[in-house]
Amino acid sequence: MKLGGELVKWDRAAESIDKTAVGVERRYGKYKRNLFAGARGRTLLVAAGTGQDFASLPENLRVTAVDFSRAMLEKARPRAALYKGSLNLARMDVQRLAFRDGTFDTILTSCTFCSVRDPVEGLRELNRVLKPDGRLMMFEHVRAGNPFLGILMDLMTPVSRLVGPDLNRRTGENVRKAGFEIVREFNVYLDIVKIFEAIKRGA
Amino acid sequence: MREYSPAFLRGVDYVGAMIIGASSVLLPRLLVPHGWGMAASMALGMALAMTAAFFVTILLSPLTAFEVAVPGMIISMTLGMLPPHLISVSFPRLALVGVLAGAATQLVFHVYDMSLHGEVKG
Repeated sequence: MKLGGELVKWDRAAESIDKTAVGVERRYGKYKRNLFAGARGRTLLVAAGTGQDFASLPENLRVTAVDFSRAMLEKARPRAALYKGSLNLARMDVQRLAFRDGTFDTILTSCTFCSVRDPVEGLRELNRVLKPDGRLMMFEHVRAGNPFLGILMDLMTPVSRLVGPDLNRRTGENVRKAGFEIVREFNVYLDIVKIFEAIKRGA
Repeated sequence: MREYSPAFLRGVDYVGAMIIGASSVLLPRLLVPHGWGMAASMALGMALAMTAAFFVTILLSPLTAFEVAVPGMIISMTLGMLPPHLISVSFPRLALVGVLAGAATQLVFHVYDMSLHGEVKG
């Protein structure tokens, strides 16, 4: 895994991310729970972090939750044990997943592709491991469509990237570039916090 | 995690914007040296206001996410540049300008959010 500084940054963030994410959970948790309620069959949760999202998963799924940060996974372990279903943790980079083609029925992401180094490559990897009739469900923050706000987010990103995620990712475009067709898009706050549901193009 | 009503959280958004508005005019007024040139004092004012907005956003982060951060960015960038032009305005009046501008900006974002919220068609 050649992740260097990124890995160090997220290992460090494992200490504080639960506190900084409280507002996000408080504001958007219900949207995330509604989205994740649609998960079916064998499910991949990408960038599990400290496992805050496990409580939003419907019961009795067969879940594999991956993250590239060992520190995050250590924090996630006790939460994984509380899940009412099967939940396995694995240390893995989303850009190089150790799963066979077409393994998963559902793939879930939660504020993930604001941080993946090469988002299109990561999304192509998700496309590869998703079954032909599977569904990608994403809860993400993205660059604003409003040009003025978008430029401000571009200007703020070098600062935000020092301690956390990028603010100016064009995730909708990246999802399409990676071979998916977006079948549902929902604005949660402005057009910055969004839900995407996507299927493999041509499925 | 304790749940709060949407109305309470909306109130937090407005209070946050008003605090950012007030600090965005008062801090530059207090800290930017009077003898500086227009461009330099506007730039320093903006930097001070944005720093204040950052700290207010962090302080309110258990209750908010982008709802204070995004309007706060706009409020602090614009209001932070004003104080060099408003030397003759008293502190209370300046604070009132900041509070009202903060609330008005949050209102604009509130309406903008209502227009965008929900399923994206087409």
